[in-house]
Amino acid sequence: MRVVIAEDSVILRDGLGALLARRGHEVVAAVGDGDALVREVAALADAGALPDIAVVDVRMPPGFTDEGLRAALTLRETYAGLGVLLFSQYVETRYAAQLFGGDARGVGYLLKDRVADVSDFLDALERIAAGRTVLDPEVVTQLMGAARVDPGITRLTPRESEVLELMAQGRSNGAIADALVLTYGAVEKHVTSIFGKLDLAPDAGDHRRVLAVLRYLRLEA
Amino acid sequence: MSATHPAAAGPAGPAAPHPGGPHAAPTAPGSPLPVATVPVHLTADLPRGAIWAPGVMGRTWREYGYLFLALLIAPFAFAYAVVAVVLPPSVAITVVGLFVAGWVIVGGRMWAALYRGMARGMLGTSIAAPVPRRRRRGFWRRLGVLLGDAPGWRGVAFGALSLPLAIVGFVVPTAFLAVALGGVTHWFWYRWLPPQEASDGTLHRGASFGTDYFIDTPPRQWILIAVGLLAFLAWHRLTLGFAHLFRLLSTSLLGPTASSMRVAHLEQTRGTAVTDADTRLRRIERDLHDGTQARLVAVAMQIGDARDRLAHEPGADPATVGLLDEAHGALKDTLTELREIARGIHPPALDNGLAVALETLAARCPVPVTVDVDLAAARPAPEVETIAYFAAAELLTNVVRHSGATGAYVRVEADRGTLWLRVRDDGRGGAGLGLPGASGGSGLAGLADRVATVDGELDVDSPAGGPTVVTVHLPLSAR
Repeated sequence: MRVVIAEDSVILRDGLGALLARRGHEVVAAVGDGDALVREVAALADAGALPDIAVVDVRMPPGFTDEGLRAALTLRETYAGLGVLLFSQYVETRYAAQLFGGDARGVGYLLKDRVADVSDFLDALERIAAGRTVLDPEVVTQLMGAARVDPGITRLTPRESEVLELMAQGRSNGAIADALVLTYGAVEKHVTSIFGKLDLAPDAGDHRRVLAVLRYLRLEA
Repeated sequence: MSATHPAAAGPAGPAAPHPGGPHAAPTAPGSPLPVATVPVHLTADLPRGAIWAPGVMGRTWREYGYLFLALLIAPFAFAYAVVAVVLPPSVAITVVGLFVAGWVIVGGRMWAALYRGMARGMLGTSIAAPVPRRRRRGFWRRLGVLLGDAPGWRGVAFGALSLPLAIVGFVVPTAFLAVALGGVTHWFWYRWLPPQEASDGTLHRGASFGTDYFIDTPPRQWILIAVGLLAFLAWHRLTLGFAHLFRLLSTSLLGPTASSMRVAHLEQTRGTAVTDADTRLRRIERDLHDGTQARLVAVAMQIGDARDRLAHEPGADPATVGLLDEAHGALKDTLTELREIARGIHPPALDNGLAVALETLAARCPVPVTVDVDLAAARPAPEVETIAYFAAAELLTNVVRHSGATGAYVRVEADRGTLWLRVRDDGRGGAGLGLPGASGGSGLAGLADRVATVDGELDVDSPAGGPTVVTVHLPLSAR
């Protein structure tokens, strides 16, 4: 996979680059702020070598607020085939809302600490490059907590709540089955039941599934 | 040569009396607080010396003009002072009338400003304006501030004292001036005076002293001229003297008091201290984030990678993999702890504003919290946002731990220079500032202290069994 890294901390940038290189990916560019990211991707696109995915830190110079997010949104508008994985130091539901506002295909939002779980991180990268959606479990937990008083949520059985959480993280049915040690068929049944109880239209595409769940959890932009 | 006016810095000139006031500055126009190390009043280098020295006559006439003006307005000032003194007791029965009395007293500041202007223009003395009136909320407190306004009272007192002083101060020198002018020119106009009969029957024209002494001979004219000149000198000295009395009165009554200057200075330094502390904490959090946390994440990445590779190797020793697993887990725990500590020092969400930070805080709260922030009117200073954030965090912690509520509501708005933060919950109430508890208290007392460092206020309305509403008022800036 061809990866672009945007991260202002040199230590992390080098560490990420080294990790990806060790696992056989190619780091085509590593930059330290949002404008440089947009410039580099544009240059690569002009040369016909658009990368597969951009790994972007939200908080970057010069303002250290949401430069990374804005750069990521710009890239999403311009280059349809570019996957974006956004890193954030802390859970910020507004960023997630903006990122998943439109098309949630090939978009991910993770906490920076999640990088420490190397296999999860690499798995997330691959899912995004494949056009799926990734949402950090901590974000999902907070959203679920906030929606706790909603009657729909309380109608779910504990098992269905677990499935819903994993669904909101963007996992496929197969991955959910592995994670919860269930059969694929059982997961499908749970999913149908969940969508029924929450009055959501079931859909095949995972990203549309995530969107439906997020909208249900009131992650409005 | 006209007296020049040093506006601020520099010691007072040799002509300046220094009544031992503290060294604090005149208020620069537009700035709300005085700054230290400049005298409270300054007298310019006034011309002095003999009456024929350059500039001295000009100064004498200017100060004479001051005495005249002071006499003109003295009756009005005196009347105002009488009203100011008589009004409070007479309208005390209608409590609202006390407000009128209060405003009359504060109006004394206007008189003081007028006299300060006169002193600056005619006496060559710059006096700093007193510290502005403190704003207080609440009916009785506001009334107290009005009625007890010291600069207002001192302005009123100056007006009252100026009446006797102005009368004497103008009349006496004027008498001498009249004698001087008359005596010096008598030799010219005495011939138009009506003739008077002396006791021996002769007719004389001219000023007379007693029945027989007439000033109609040349030697006597010369004597009168000399007397006139002496009277002129006396007028000059008396004018300067009375003007100086007014100068002393002005500097003692019309400027800021020593204690008010000290208070203003303390407020300013405290504001600086609060802002500095906040900036330092933000820098510490930034260093933690950029340095320590980044390094830990990088190390965790490496250890995680090593563990994964080792786990996938065929002959891997499970003990080694287990060790790496533990190390990895410990690192992740450290990262979480560090993140919590950093959030306790300065939550990174605050950099995006109080609204965002409060929403993040609400999302992490086990109890459902509705956040309603309206800061369109004004953006508070960063240190005030920090205090407001930690206040909200403390209050929400109390809601979770002590109230047993099912929901909380947080409202923030900015209005007339004040930031309002209100946290309402539907719990069992009974919260108090000094509530002792097994956990060491509700923390509200500590919160009140922290709020007080910027002259904010904390109100707790928590009847037993009923909903609890805690309101925090903070100024929009720590200075």
